[in-house]
Amino acid sequence: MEYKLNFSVNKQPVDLLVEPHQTLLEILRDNLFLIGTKDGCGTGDCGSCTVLVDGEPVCACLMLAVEAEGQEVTTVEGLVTDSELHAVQKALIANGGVQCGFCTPGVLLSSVALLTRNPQPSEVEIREALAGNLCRCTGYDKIVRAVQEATKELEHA
Amino acid sequence: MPETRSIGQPLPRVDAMEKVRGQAIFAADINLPQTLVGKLLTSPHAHAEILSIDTSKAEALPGVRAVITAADIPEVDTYDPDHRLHAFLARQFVVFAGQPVAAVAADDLPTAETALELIEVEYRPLPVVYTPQEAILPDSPAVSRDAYRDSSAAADTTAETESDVAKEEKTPNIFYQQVIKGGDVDAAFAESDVVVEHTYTMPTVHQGYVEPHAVIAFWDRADHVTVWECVQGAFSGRDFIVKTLGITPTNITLNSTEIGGGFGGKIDGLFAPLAVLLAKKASRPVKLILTRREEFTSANPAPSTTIRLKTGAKRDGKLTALEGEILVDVGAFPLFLNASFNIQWLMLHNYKFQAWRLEGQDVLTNKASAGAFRAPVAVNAAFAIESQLDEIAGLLDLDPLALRLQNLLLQDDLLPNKEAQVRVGSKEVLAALAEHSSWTSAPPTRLGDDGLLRGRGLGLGSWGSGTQTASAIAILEADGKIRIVLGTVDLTGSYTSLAQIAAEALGVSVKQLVMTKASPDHAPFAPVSAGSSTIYSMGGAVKEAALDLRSKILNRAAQVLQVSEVELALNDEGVFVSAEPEKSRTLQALYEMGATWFGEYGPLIGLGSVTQRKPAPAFAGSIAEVTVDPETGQVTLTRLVIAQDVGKAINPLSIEGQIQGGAAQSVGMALWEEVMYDEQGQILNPSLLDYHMPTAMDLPMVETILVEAPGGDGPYGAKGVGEPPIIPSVPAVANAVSAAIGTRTCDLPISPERVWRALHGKTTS
Amino acid sequence: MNRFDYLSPRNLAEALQMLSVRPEAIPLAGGTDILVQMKERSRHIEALLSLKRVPELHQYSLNGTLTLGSALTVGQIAAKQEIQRDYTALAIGSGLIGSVQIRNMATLGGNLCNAAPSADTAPPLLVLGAEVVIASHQGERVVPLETFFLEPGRTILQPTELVKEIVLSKSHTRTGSFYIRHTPRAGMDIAVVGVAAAITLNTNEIILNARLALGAAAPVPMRAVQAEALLPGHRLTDELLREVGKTASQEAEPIDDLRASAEYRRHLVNILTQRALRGAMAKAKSNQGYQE
Repeated sequence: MEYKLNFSVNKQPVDLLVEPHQTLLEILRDNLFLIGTKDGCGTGDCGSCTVLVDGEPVCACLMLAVEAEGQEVTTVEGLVTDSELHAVQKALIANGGVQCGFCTPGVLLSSVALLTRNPQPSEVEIREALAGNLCRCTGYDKIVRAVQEATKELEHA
Repeated sequence: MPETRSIGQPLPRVDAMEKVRGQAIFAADINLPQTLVGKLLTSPHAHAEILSIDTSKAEALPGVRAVITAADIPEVDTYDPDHRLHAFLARQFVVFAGQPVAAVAADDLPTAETALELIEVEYRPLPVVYTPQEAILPDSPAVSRDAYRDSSAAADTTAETESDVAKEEKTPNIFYQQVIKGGDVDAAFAESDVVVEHTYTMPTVHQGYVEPHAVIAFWDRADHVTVWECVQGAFSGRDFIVKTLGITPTNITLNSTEIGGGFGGKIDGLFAPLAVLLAKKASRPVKLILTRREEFTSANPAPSTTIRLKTGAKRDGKLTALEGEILVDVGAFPLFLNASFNIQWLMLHNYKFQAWRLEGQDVLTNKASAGAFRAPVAVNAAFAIESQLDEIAGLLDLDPLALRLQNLLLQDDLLPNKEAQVRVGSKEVLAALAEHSSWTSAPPTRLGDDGLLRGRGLGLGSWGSGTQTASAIAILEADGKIRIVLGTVDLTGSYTSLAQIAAEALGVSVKQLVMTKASPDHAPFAPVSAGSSTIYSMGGAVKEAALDLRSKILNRAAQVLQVSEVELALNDEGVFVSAEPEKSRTLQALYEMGATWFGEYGPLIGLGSVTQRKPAPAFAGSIAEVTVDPETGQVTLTRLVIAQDVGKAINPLSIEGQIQGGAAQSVGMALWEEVMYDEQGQILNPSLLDYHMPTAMDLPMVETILVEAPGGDGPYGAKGVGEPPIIPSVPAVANAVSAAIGTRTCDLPISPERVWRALHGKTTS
Repeated sequence: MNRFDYLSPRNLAEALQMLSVRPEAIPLAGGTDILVQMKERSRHIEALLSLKRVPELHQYSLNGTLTLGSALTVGQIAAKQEIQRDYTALAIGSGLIGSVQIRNMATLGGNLCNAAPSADTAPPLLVLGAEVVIASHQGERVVPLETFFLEPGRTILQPTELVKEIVLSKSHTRTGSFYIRHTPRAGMDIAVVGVAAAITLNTNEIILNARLALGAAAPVPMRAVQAEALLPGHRLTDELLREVGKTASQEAEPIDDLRASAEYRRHLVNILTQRALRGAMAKAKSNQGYQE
């Protein structure tokens, strides 16, 4: 049986029919073609599928799409406003915080959520916020530095 | 040559913009119309005979479009039963739990999963060979009906090889064994003032790339298949399909997509033939993506090792003898390299000994067949030998860094095969660490006021360079930019560094370069991105192509401007006469001359085709500081420093990042990572929750020192960078823990429980 | 994941009614455990009963007693300042589960109903004297959390029942609680052992009341009653701490598994019991709680 799902993705209203077994991740990727959100483990352990639901990071792989009814979902594709990159995106590029790029969308959303609720995070707080986003390429050093730099830029903005 | 403008610049990646916007296309992101979902049915048994497979119920399920078993594999002359790559589907016998026995393609995931449950496989379980210690016994059951064996035991130490190692007692599970020896070991130990001996174990570890294997196959013509795949080499991936399915190379278009980490685990692809066969049978595109569980059970983790090692030294710290036995558990199929030989070689490569005798065996067990993982088995070698050097320094009350410096095997010193060592940077790496504040400061007080134990440790490691053949094309484009066409896979930021090399060679800025990745249909041969070889080899090819194009551009401009080439200079705008800059032609104009009706000149292209053969072994050293909670055994890494000889840093930003990532993997191996098996060959922790890769909370910042020592013939002095950083932090962390707790932990990972046991003199449970 | 029916009640009565008709339906709260089981096909589920739109299960009230709707996420609980202050152990335990992402999904009820021996909210709730309000279409019953767990993965819940809320009694003056666990990895890990402690002091810093609870130290989260009994009437000296730790480790019934040996777990119970008590003591000294 299919359910009608009304929700918002990157500030755009979306309504479509979904089957209960379809995860939010599957709907984003396969139905809405928002391929920036990645599937790294399917069990909530790697954070590649991190999206914001009503502003809070969640694992889209463990959320049934039907459960997103009425909610506001933000994916990596929604971070760019008026073709201007988010400060964390810019800082990741400048600091070499992007390598293979597979964890990058999830890292971005976790970082953006962190800076929204805590504009002046310490290194420890940044690391805690990113603990659910496994990165195998960088050793996190340049990612953490990028978030620190973005903090400064947002402060000046 | 123009002055250096691009080499050495810390430029952001050429693909960073797409990646932060989520626009980079990975294999799983490819969506073709009517694509089916592919799923694997894997063996629940680690060793069994397949008596029958009944796929009829699965095939009858609505929405199922194809089911394949070994019966669907075409017969090919290249079939090799001893090769892991041909075991993508089990034929009659399964030899590890997780080996695919069938695969389905269906309209959607629930249908595919239900179909798997409807496939009836009758197994006759066979004895499971669980440990290598058990596997080498003469009466051990065979891991496989097909006896893998090493017929030649080839190695470049022929003169010193003992070929009489009880051959008649060999079980078929030993597929490679070799003794490397030199000098009089007994005499050297007799002369030694100190001798240390332990057995070091390292478990199976996993590459841990965050992107699972993904492959899409589509037969777009009757005899032609197009494949999109995350694989470390487009040519190696294509070759795998050629060899396993007998399709001729030009009937395969293999598009290597963005790749979410490989680290040696995605060299060949492993699963592409399954998607190709399913797509053929279903006449539809098939997308096959591994689950994370399958990544653990069905892919190719790194081999585990048991190394008994004995080292002797004189009172003044001079090393005398090295003796030991190396047992490598490679799982169900022979590894692509002879792992124990690699360990022997790496152990004798860095330091001078008077005498040595190392026995090595590569052994099969009924576990997931091992593959490469970043500097394959170099970590295992370094953990053992660097632990012993540290222990010797302690016993002799010598500075561990000085002890290493004193014994380095440097240029012109003889290697075990009697060849002279080439120029290496091990001394420079150690010198850089010796000057670093982490080493010049006093060692941490062992027991702090906070009740924590503290220790500092050092480790050194090396990797022989990846010498491969490579080619590339440089094309002058319509807008005056230079397009580099290449078939290599960008695993680690190589396209950015290659653009810098091309820009440098051409004498233009990097923004003039367009890097075009092409499939083997459109690019000349490129080697697999592995073994720290991409910048070394592809860089050589790109440089040569760029120089070739530059020379042709200058030659053309000389003709047009009626001057000699030596009078000309080239920059982003074009070519001009140095003495009369107004006499010039833009690059765009030069392009147009070669792209016009009845043109006088042909188009301008440059070719690069090289073989980089001169070895350039690269060294990395690490200093680690830890705290240990003596009550729980918990180790916390508080400081990590790594210095690496990179020859010439083409792009320091990208190299630093690569080194830091390698160091993080090394720390993971030191403290947490282990694929655990039970006695039936079943993996106990096939998830990223239970397989503990370091999170952001587990690591400090990584203090990174780039050392530039000459050596090799890489472009602009570059050496391989990828492998070395994973090596030295394992021994550095182990040595730091040892300094903190006052005793040795010889088993990886150094888990809290192991530390607690070591501290309290408890035996392993 | 197999196909299943999705039931989406809009209030508690509707949820309980649906469950009485479809007792095979499994409640879906945060989904962080059940969806993993379904994806790995270790669990075949006919129907899921979504609790997301059931407002009664999302209630939060601190009105003398603290009432926590079972569908509150552990992230919400960890972030409440009054819980951090007066029910510290619960805030700590809730804040250690998984990652930020998981804590934004996983619920308190889910953490308990999943009945993992290592559930990080269970020892804190045990020392805080939690009561579980269980509802079915036939009515409600209230049970102490001690009696809730039966074995790994199994609770006293009947198929037609739901956990409606968790109730914690008023936090008293000079009461403090603490939770500490051991994991090899600093982030994203499962407790090898977790210990919660709660202490109430008199004005002379003599222990009036103490509770200890252990996670991953037995088939179900358990109170360490013999160890607790050593505390009332005493000051928390180092010697007493050692004795209590040792007693707790003897009470524990740990097992060998992939994460640790039973022997090491027993040792951890000893050490962590002492640390949890120190943490609770520090809180109790500083905590004025709610005035009587």
